[in-house]
Amino acid sequence: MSHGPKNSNPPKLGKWLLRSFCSYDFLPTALWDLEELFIANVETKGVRRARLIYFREVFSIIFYLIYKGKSQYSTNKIAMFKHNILISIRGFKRFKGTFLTNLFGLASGLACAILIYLWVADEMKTDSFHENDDRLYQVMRNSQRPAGIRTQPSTPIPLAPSLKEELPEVEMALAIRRPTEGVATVDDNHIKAEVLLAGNQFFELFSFPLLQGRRSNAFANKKSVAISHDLAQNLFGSAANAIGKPIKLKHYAYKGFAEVSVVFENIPFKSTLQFDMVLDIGLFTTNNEWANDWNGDEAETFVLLTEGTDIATFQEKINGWLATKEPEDRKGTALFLQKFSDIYLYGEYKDGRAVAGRASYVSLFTYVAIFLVLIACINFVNLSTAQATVKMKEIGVKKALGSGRSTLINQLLTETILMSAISVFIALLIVALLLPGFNELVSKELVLEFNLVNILVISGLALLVGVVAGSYPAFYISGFSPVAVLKGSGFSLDRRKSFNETMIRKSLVVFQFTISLVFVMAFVVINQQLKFVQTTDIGYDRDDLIHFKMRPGYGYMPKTFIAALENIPGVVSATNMTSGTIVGNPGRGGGFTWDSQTPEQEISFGRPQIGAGFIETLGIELLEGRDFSSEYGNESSKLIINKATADLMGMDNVIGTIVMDSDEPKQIIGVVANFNIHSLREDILPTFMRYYPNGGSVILRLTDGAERETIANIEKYYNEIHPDYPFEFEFIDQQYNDLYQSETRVAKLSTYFTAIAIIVSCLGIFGLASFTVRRRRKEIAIRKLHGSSIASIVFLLSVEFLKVIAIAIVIGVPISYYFLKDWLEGFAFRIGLSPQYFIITGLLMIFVAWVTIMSQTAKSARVNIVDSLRGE
Amino acid sequence: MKKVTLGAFEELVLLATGVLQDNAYGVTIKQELEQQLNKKISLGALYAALQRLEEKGWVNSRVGGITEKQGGRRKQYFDITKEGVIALNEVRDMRNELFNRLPQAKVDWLKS
Repeated sequence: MSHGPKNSNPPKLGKWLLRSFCSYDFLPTALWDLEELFIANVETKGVRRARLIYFREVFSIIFYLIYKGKSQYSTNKIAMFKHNILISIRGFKRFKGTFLTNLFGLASGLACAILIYLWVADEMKTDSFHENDDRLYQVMRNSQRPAGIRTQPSTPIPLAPSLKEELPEVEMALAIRRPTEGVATVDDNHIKAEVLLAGNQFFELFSFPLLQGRRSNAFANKKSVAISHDLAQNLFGSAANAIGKPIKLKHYAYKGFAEVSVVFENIPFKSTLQFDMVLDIGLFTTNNEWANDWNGDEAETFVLLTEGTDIATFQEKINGWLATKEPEDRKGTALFLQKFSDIYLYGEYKDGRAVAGRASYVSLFTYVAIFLVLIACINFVNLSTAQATVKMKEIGVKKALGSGRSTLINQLLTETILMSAISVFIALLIVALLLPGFNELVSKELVLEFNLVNILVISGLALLVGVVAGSYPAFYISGFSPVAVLKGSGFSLDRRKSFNETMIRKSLVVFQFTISLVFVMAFVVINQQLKFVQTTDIGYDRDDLIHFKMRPGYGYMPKTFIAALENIPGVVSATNMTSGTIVGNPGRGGGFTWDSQTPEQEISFGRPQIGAGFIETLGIELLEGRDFSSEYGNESSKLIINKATADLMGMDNVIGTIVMDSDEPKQIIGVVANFNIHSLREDILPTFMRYYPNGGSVILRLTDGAERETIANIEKYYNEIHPDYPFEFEFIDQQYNDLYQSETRVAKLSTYFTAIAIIVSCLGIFGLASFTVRRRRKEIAIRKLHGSSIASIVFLLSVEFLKVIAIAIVIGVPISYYFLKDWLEGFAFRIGLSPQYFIITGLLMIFVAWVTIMSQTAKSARVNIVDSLRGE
Repeated sequence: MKKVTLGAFEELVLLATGVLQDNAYGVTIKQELEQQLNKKISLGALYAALQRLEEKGWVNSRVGGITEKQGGRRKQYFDITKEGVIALNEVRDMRNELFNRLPQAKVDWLKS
């Protein structure tokens, strides 16, 4: 034998394969040729490659034996395999209907599963492409609030350097400020860019691919800037041209010139950090000393831990870190680490711990995929067992000639695996066809790549489906007694067995329809809830409202700008507010106190800062008092509250009450009806509206019908005032709908998946019905002979199936009720789960099932009885 | 009777078998051809070609060479037969004949 190192023997599995496929005549030749080759390869290419080549050669030899080899060179396995394939293909040809039903069902189920797999794999890959992914963490901050622990990503800027200096486990630490918009100018070319603030080691910590420049010390020169390939292209014509050139920047952090030190490739979709430009965070802190304080949370902190760091011990070390720096303010604040690539999926927090965010959708769709494939497999199981009668003679003859049970099981499994392989192939075609549309639906850029992982997963799927769908029929059919079978009596000999078999088949159909029912219910309820969200009165009129931002630094007063906007024909009224838009406005906080306040009333309030005419422009109902108006002086010391606040304060006459906004006394001048400033997932927050005339967010109400010209006029005026910024506006109702993007997406997807589930399930009962009808041909004919009407025969045949569907409904309703109730509880404003949804869905299911089997039963009832009885 | 033809790959395998004389078996033929053609050849394809050649009577296989290296087991060797050499010659003659009929002027013109 070979005398090389211990592990340089040819792989055992490969040898075993050869032994099982090559006959005695050929085996030594193949074995020794391969071994000689292997030894040569180990020396030149290493053991791993040599093993790989060995396997490739083994498969090439097996292929040769199957297709071209002399029969005396191969073992029986090859012959049996060829025989099994042949028998399978003949079977497919002979029962085209069943074959196509199975194929179509399996292929569509598998296509859905593959699409979902691609999506799930992509979700899991988000942010994990960084080289040090396993050691890259973000520091999160838990703060104790009256309403419970609140988790936020923001931390003080000095945290990163202090962690790096004081803890040996920290290899790198970096403070980052999330991207905000700025403008880059070269000559007269102004281009908007999302600017991220980070430090010197940014490109070492995150491995975004670079085109030009060095990874380390990207910001050695403070006034350096890293730009994306697209930005370099637009500003300088090419990436190579950009290095060392100055760019004029206009950004809140820094205004002035900076030199390009790095050009990075455009940020891939699979990154959650999306930006066009990186500046040194030092540029920001030198001009804004306050930001460097331990008191503020002005950045997000990322750390790279050294290899082999124990996370739990490290976590304990940093837990109370902030309190050691700022004991007074940070008593209840704790820090914890979360793996950066996990944040995308687990980005929601409860009681200071990460819980599933998007991960819940990932698992939801994984289950959907599994169930769709199961439904398709059940069709296969049902149709094959139902068709056992036609296979019986073949099996009987084979058994009589001495086939063992394992040979027969092999044959039947080969058939199902072949079937599922064909289905996977067709499913892949379907996926390739649907992928562009699917991408649009889920806003992703998925591609069907045939890399090693995908090939393994997909072929594994084919094998698994083949085995899952094939094992029950294989064991069932191969277990027939040859004597009974050849006598021609089949299962009718053994009534109990036949009963069991029918029961299994029926319960599988129940399972299928239960799942379909849950899908349909989910589809109905999700869509109803979305419709509710879109039509419910949220307390203001969101039609014909547009929103855009003013830009600071052009030397005008927001007040005069808004007044000028109001003069544009077509603008009904105009107002402004601070930070963001009315939709999903995140601001909230405590700090409001009044004389009769009880401790329970010290809660977190909504506290938007609004300009004059806000209530009027948005069309919020004013219950008492008045709106803010620039006609009065000193509006800054006034407050408007919503009904929820008024109820909370519980006073008879709330107008005129003095409320302390931190340390500033303010007087309530108006009460408005409740309106939803957050999404409908959250309750209406008691809100204090404060007056701030210089807010940078503009909201305009336009006259219905003339929006296009009005917007053109606004744009003209806007461009006169802000020559560097393009005019970008959004419709408020669009922003509102965007809040429910994930729900809308699920609703759209559920439409397709529900349709597939129903179609596949119906295919199943269609197949079963046609089979039953064929088997009961004589019974039907005799019934007709004795005077049964067509209607009563149809009823007789249908009722068997409808009973099964009814059971499915009885099981499916509570299941779907449970899950949908849970889902709806995510919304503070939601529809009730009224019984009518369940009744309608149930009736729909019965109707669909009935229509499906109707064609078969009706045909059988009308058949000429002479034809049915004449045979034999 | 249908004329027995020699495929392009078969021709190469047959040539290699002849060239290797007494030492023609799977691995050596594979290595020889890979060296000459500068591309990978799988053993399966090679066995298939050898089997066809054997059926046509252009190579003979013999079992032999119980050497130390093989751990004392037998191995299949291939030898080119007289008919094999004739077949090779026929193919070459036919090719040469066609080659000679290429218009010289055009060849020169294309070469320049």
